[in-house]
Amino acid sequence: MDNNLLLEVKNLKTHFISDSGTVKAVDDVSFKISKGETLGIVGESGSGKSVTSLSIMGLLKDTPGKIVGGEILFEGTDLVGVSESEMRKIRGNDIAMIFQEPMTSLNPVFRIGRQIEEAVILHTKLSKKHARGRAIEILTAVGISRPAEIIHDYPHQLSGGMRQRVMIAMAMACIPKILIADEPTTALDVTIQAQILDLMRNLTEVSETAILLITHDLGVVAEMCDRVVVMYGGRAVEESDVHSIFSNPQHPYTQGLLASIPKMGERVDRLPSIAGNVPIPSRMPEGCKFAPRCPFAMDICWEEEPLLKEVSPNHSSRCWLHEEVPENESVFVGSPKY
Amino acid sequence: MTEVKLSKKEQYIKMSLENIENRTPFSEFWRKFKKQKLAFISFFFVIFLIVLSIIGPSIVPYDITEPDYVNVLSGPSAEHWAGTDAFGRDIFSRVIAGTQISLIVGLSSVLLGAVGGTLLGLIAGYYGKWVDRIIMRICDILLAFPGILLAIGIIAILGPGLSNVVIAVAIFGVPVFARIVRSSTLAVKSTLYVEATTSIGARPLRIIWKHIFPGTVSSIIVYFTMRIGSAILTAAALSFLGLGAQPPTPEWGAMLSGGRDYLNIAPHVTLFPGLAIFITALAFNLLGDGLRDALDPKIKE
Amino acid sequence: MFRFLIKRLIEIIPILIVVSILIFLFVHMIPGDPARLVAGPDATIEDVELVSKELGLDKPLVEQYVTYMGNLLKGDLGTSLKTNRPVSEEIGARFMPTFWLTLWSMVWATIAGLIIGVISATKRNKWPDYLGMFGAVSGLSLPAFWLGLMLIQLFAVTLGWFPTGGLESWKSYVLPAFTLGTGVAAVIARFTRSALMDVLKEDYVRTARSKGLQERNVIWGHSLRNAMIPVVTMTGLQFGFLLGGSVVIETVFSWPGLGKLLIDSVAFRDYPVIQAEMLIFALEFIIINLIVDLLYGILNPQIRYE
Repeated sequence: MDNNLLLEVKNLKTHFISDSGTVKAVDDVSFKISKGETLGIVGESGSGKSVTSLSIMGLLKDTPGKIVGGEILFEGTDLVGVSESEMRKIRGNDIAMIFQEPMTSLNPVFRIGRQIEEAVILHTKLSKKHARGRAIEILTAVGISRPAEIIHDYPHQLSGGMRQRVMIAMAMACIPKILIADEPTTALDVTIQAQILDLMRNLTEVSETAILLITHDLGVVAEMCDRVVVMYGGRAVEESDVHSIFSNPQHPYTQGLLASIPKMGERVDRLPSIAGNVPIPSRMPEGCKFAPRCPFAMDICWEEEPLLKEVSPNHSSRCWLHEEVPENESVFVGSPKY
Repeated sequence: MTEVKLSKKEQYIKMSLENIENRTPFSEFWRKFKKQKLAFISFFFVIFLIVLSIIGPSIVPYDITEPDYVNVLSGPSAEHWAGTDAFGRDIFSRVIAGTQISLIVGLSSVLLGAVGGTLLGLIAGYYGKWVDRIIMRICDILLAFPGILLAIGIIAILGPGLSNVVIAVAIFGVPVFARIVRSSTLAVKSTLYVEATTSIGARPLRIIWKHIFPGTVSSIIVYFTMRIGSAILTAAALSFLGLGAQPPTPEWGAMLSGGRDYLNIAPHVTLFPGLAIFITALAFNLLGDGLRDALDPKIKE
Repeated sequence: MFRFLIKRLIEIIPILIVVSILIFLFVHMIPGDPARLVAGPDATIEDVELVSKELGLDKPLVEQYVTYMGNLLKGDLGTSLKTNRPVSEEIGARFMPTFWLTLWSMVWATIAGLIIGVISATKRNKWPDYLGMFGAVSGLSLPAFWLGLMLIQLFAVTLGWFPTGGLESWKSYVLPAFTLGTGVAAVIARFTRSALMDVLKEDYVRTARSKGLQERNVIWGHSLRNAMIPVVTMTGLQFGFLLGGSVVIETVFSWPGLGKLLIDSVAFRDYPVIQAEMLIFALEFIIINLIVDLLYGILNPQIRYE
């Protein structure tokens, strides 16, 4: 099991420090990814899920964000302390990333071919000619029909779905060990979403690439992931394998998220939703971050934050309700009354 | 037990409410503006310049026009801090007295340009169609022509003199303001509340004055300040070329021009008036940059 | 691309006609009777009328314009009232010195402006940025004629490294070109900084970094190429500023160029020269805008492929 461990994030703390105060965008988050595994990080915008992925990639440079604590162990090396030049060798080579917006994630002034070859030449020391071959090969693999012509095109000549395929091709060109996908399908048409997810799954299966999938869409999670971390307000609030999350959600927030997706064959007048909004990051409540929106909030929830506790093997949750009746987990099952 | 201790929950709710109440546009502007240290200093320096331009002529130690042939072209000393010019006049006194001229020329030319440009921009933006096309085409032509060449051309017609410099500098400020105000007007016009007022039958003039004009004020303030520096520079350049203020007026550009012939024996004659132009223009430019960053960071040069 | 060029060249013709009419009318608004100037201060009324007839000034404006344009097409720009030499000769002798002066000013200003702008944008809110931007705002606030005089005092009078004025050798270019380019360098630096900062926020820059590219490559390769699209447009516009600035700088450095000629002509009301100069400035400005448009197309594939 441990031989397969690829990435271990331990107590990661990424804070945004500005004049108006410190925002704890990611606060004490831990998880593991093994070879070939797909881990989902779920949460609303502002939950810290994207910041987590940028922390792993070491791409916080252009944000006010800074890793203030914790470790990111990639194959045993802590990426937090590693030099920029070491990090560059890992970035795009061992850990690659695709982003939410295919329309703006490709450089508009360079041809597609050049943008793919660039990473190949950098990390594999292939010649320009062989890199071009690799670009055509990987474009074929992502299902682009005329790759030899597409490499001469500029991004604005391609559709959104095509561009996201190009992005995947670019990320997979050096056969990374981990692919971080930040909302890879959110900006795409529903019909194309499934194709892109299929493509990611098939490509990574062959190369045993692990996926860190960041999404707010539980449907995507159900389809793709092996394990799930649910984030809220910079905290991991629940973590488990994908089956228990859906069959036995523990945290009221997870329960709320699940209740708000429509179920096949069920007729409801109105879908329940979680009341309120994610709090402004600089004004997080002191206790449980979810307390202002939680239908079960008690006095203690406002006073003190609960710990992330294992409620059953490989299933942890961060909620005071578990403390009260630690032996009886069935209390909340199937009772999301939103 | 007189003091009621708020629970954490009540504290949170109170904090959320307070933050909504406390943020007025002005306090927000002031908070951002104070952070720009150079702009903040420039703000006080500009106030100092304005005060100096009012009281300057009456507090200067020497007469600014009376020649003193005993002290011709003497270097900086205890009596004459910035030395004397070719007529023996005290340069320090003349530079102080010249503040008034430069500020009046700078402010009035930009003000004229801003008023003209704002009116044209409001009209073009509000009425649209052919009115807009004609006004903006004229502005394009004016903008395309290098400012100082246009000013030289206008002075060629009107003749040299400070008041004609003001007119010339004002004219090439018009298209700049017209453009900004027009685009802000278009943006404001498309917002819902103007459409709503139009639909209840308010008169155009009232709509422009009550609803569109306030929406453009912050961009106008920023550009106004930024233009003053360049207006002062252009006016000084025109006087330097002999097209503006005439001797013995203590205008900085004209003083510089007078010192040119003595550059190798008395460089201080050109040094101090130039320094005055530079520092004044710098203060207005820094203030303009600071106002832009605090009021409307979207504005580009 | 070739068709685009032809199309743009044809579009210039009506613009030139309108500009020539405007300039013609403009010059005729200048007060004072040129015939009186030519005839001299002691001339009688008859003399003045004679000169007026000789110059064709008694004919209607439309006819004067048509004659002027006809001669213009033959390469005849009229005769200078001041020197009695053909205007084309007067201008021809002064065109190249101004051309080279503006070109060298533009070259150094662009290089310096780009470097300062890029450094400021990448070291945002650190001391190189503060230094660069304070330098730029200072450059904007410097009266160019004063800077020129101070440079002459220091490098020509005191140190004797460069001539104080006139055009003798390449050394003569150094001080005026530096002076003329300062303001433009400042504008380009400020504009490059803000354009590049906008680009650095773009998703594709993050993509480039996520590939593991060196920061140098991310900035100078991926980002600057995009930032150059607005910068080129703005730089082209600065040529107009240089043409205007050359008038002042040429006076400071006694430069035998078009700018100094213009000031001398305005003082003398030498209207054939003023008219010809205005036309040349307008033509230069239009040609520069055309070049800018072409560069814009080369830099921006979305335009090129329409």
